[in-house]
Amino acid sequence: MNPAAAPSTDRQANREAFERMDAARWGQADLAAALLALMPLRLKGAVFDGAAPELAGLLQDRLTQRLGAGTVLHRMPVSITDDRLIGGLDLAATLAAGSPIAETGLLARADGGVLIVPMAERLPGRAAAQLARVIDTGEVETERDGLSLRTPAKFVTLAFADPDEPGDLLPAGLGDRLAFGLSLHGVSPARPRPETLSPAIVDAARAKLRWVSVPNTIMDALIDAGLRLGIRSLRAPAFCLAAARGIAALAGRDEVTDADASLAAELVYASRANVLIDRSEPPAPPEPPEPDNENTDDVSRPQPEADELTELLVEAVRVRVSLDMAARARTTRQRTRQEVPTGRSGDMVDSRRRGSRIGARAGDPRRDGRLDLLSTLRTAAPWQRIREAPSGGAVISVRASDFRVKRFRHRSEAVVIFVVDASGSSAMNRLADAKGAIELLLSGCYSRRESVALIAFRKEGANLLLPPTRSLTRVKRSLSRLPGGGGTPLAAGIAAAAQLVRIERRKRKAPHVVFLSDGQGNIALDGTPGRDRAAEDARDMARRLKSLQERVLFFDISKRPSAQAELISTEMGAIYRPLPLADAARVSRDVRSLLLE
Amino acid sequence: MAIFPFVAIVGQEPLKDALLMSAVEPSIGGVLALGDRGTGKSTAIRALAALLPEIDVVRGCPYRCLPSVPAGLCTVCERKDNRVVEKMAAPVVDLPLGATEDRVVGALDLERALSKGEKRFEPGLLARANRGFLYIDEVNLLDDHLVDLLLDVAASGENVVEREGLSVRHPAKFVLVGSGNPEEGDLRPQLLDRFGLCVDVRTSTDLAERMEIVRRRDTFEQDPAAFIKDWSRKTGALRKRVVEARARVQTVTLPDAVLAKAVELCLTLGADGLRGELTLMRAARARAALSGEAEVSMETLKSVAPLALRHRLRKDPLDDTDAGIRVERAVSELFVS
Repeated sequence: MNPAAAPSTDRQANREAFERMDAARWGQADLAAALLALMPLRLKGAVFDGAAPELAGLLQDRLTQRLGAGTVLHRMPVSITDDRLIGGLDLAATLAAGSPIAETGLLARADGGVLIVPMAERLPGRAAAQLARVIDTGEVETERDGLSLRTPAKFVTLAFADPDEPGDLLPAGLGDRLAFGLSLHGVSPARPRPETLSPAIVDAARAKLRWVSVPNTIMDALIDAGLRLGIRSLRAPAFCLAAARGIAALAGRDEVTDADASLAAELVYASRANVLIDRSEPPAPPEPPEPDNENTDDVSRPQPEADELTELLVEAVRVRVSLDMAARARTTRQRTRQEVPTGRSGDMVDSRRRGSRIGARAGDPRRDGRLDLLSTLRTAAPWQRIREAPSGGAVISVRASDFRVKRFRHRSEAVVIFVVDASGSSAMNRLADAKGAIELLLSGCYSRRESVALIAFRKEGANLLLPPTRSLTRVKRSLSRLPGGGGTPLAAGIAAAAQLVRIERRKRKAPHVVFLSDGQGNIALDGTPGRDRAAEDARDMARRLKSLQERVLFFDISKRPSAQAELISTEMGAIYRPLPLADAARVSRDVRSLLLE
Repeated sequence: MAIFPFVAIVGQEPLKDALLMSAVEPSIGGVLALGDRGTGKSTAIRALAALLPEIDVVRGCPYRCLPSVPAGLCTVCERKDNRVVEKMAAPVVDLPLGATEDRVVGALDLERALSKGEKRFEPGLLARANRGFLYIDEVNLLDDHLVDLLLDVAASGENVVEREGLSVRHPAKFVLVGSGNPEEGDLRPQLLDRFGLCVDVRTSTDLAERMEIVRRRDTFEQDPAAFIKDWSRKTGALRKRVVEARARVQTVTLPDAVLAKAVELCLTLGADGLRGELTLMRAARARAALSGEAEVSMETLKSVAPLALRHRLRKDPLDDTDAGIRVERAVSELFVS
């Protein structure tokens, strides 16, 4: 730094602080990659949130270099099908050979290497569950298409996510199985990133790892801190312990220090912490421990110094979480400004070919959808002796009557998005209405498999209070305390709905939107008050929603049906229904009859 | 891959109990484990495989026929004159997600059919699970028609295949174990009550217990073989208990007074149908057999009631009370009088 200019400006200091932060956050990501190379089978993998593509590439490179020469790297596209993921019948080879030839799936091919999951937030639950299971057992079991195979599949998983809404980066069951979760929002892709943890250091640490010990106080504090951060899963503290050992080994120590533990806690706990990061409200202390039974003598109660360390660890994680949240808010704000409305993204697929496969039936593939080759072969097989040998060198004789086509579950899953005005004095009534309608919808019919989401708008903006879910349990848990009151940012509510519609559509769901509002906004899209701007913004957003061409239902909750509400409802191409009195049952009934059936 | 020993699992008593009772008395009708992530549901079930005593089977039989009971033999073993008996580990089949129906129920052997024009049945996972356990992790992610099929076969004990010109039936008696997380989607109620026992699995929030869990796991990961060896004596003792309980369970008596209470309890709770009562009695018998008792006591009945009944209560979507608590409340009211 130039000493003459340095003291003059805050900006300079700010910049330096920012650079230090930037370097520290990258350093942690890089450390995670080193730890994964050091103990791939114990730590399993990591998920990175908001990493620039350059940084993602760099992390991959560093990880593969540290794992050693010849490490293979495979990418798992989110739209991957079961047969590609876990293997199945190689159709071309089977037909050529006239006998079944197996083809290994992606997970088996990744054995001994690295599996990259880009856009992990869009990974469907089913693929995530399959991956989660392979991470647990270290092998792929293929029971498909007449094949029964077991193949080893031990690999490191690197997931990269960048969800539009804050929330789960990965389907939860998968996220819990990967040791690290780190946010790289706002970390600069342009800065040079010298390599501090060379493959040689990692190799040296690998030899040392067995001999690294963890003092009891540190072990206890790590476990206690996890509990105080509201992390129920027991995988997390186990990962933390292993990571702390690894960090010590990388530093060439044979005992874990407090600082190692703190770093490990940040890497593992920050992405999992559930306790609100509000400094004014200390976390509820855990239940006072019951007196020791005689058989738990060896489990010493945390000593005072362990308690102190626990506090330190919890604090370190909290600071990490609030920094991450701030960084995320900065980058996403920049992004929403640049966003342009988009139309239907071309994901409409003929319903005959859409949805999950439920079997096969006789039919003509040209007319009735996709050929199910395996079933077709099965049908043809018993007749081979009787039929004449096929001409033109083919091995198998297949006739039109043998054709089987795949049957798909036709209806894609519906998502009902409730958008509720939670402003002003009657907010609680409306929210209660929406909540009642949601519970009635969900409890009414399980087999339909609809999910619901709830967006509430009040004060300066809109919040996704309930991400799409089918679980009544989850609805009850997350809607038990709803905030209300403040101004009416109608435009923000509509914008949030439009965004969620797009997200859900990408997941191949069929979104529907239900508004409960009086159509009178008084907060503009940027959060400033003023009726005129607010009304204009609301109309713009309504048109944008209409361009998405989804079914929308608008309940006008003003005392008397208002022209303004009807106008905005028309702008968004909605079905308009006045609802002067609170009535959850009617909302749920109308939603069912007008949107879903 | 090394398996964490069943006896070294800390806590999770209801789940361990339910699995052991099912191992003693398979007709209880399976176990459904619902609850949080990272609680070791899968660990417990996979650990069961290493705990269960070995079984006698006819050598080469794809259905693992029991040689001593001629009535239950498959069509292949029936025709055999000298059946060679061998021992094998009790099957615990882990149903992979993405398994296709043909591999679950069995199908035409494509290779034989194509190369030799021979129509032969290739047994599926249901055959492999015969006389053991069939485990479905994330049961709420499995296709509905597959779950229905599995429940049907589990209830009837026989797999009937009518497809691709094949007509096969073979024994498929297994204990169905399902697990899932209700936060990722509720289960259909008609599916719920077809499982015999239902366990609500929660992670412990007791610090000392959590420390013990993490420590044991850590020791295991550092050196699995040594850890398993350290616990082998306890594993052996529990295995012996299961073997003895199996021998005893049919002779455990159910006093009239206890039976009357069981019926009354089901009536009070509105637990629909006979299934609740039957499960309650079978579970109580298995529990008594495991603790070495000759007859079912009121205490035993009380202790199994939540497991056997919690998922059979009439559902009121707007009542938040935990079902297990409702059962316990009814139990304590009934048993006071």
